[in-house]
Amino acid sequence: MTETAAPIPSEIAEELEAESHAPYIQVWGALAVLTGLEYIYAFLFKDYFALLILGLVVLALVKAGLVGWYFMHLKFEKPWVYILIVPAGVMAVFLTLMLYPDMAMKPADFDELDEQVWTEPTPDSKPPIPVVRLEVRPGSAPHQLLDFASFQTSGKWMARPHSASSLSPTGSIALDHS
Amino acid sequence: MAHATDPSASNEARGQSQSHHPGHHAPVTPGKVAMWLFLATEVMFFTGLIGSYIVLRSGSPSTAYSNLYPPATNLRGLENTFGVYFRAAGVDHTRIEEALRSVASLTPEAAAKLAEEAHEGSLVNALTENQAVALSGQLRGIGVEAEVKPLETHHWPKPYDELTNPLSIDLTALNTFILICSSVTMVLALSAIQQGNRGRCSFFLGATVVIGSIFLGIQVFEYYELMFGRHYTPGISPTGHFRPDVSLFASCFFTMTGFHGAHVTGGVITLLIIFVQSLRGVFSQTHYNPIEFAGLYWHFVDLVWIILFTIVYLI
Repeated sequence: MTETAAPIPSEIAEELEAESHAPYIQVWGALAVLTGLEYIYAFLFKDYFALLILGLVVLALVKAGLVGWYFMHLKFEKPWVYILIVPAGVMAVFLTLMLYPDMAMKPADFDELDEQVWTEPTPDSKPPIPVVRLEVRPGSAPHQLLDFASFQTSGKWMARPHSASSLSPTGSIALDHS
Repeated sequence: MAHATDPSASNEARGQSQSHHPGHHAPVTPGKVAMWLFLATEVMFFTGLIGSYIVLRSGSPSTAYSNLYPPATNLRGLENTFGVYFRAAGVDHTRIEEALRSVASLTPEAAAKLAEEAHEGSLVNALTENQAVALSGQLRGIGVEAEVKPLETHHWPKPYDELTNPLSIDLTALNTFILICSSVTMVLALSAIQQGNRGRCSFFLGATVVIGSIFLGIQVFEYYELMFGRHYTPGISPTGHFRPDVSLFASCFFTMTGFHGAHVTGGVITLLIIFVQSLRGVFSQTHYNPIEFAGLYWHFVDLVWIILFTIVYLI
């Protein structure tokens, strides 16, 4: 039910015609299908991390692109809008990527939980012998155990003090507790 | 008014419906510039949260989460332990308690507590393999479906893994679809007022408010279930409830979805005000800017949720 109002300039009227008849219901259908696809995909690939991330990120970006292009009317906007969005998006990606090496690529010795100390079962007469097994990641320095506490106090990295200073071939060292 | 600049030419190549009015685009109003600028800052805001999540999760050590022990437990000495997981509790709690005391050597108080709370999803941990097998055998004998679980560690709660991840992917997938529906009704409201149809516009604005509120309601329900309603295994939380302080994952999850929920709430309130204004006939084919801007905000909130759902729930 259209109500009468002040006459609208013809360019704006054309624009309103274009914008108000965009295929919104079809986009809704596509988004519903994509959501279902994401759900199924995640269930199928939940144990294959790289494929999972790749597929889900692609599906999410397609959905986000549909919402942006049709619902947010980017299709009908002049290019100025990208001057605002693109820098924000670029910064978003780069800020995350720049933090990644600091948090996710630390050598194994820096993280307490990566250093697992298992206690070998021994008869009650003897004290337990802790065996240190390090999860050594490829590319990280495998031989030196670095002492973070000494770095905090003196600013210098020093080797962590222990009596056996070389690793056995299997990568474990026995600490001598006497 | 033809635009000869390159970006608009490529825009035209993309948009078929613009082919019959070449070079025409939506008018640039200060309000629209302001709204898009605000949305750019919102992109940065949510990047701070989601980017932190990605980075923190990537840096999480490989034994931070396990299926038998609370998050961030140092698994010193627990490497060869097993657990018994109750798939169905049966009804006989006294006999469960007997089994727990005799086979699993739990103290009377611990056994009583565990037996009383025994339900589908209970877990007895820190058992040797023999104890676990014996306990599960005895429990099966009294009608409890019990499984022996060896220790498994992950660097982050795995989706679909009931022993480390408490999130309901099914419910949230439905919720994602609901929010997308509210986005559709929002754009249909804008489309209606662009055609001068005030009644349709009000209808769709009201529908957006209702559907958005349903989304919020389901979020609140999920929060309730996580924080108060259910008991989870130790692999999810040391206290049995999933609250922001039980693990890094919990903290990240509640921060991200909480801030998103706060944004949705603000959107719903704004849309309610605009809906009331629309009922009073404030908007017309020549004046509908508030609807457009509220729509932009609402679509952005939907977009963030699409990304959040993918990254937090599915990956």
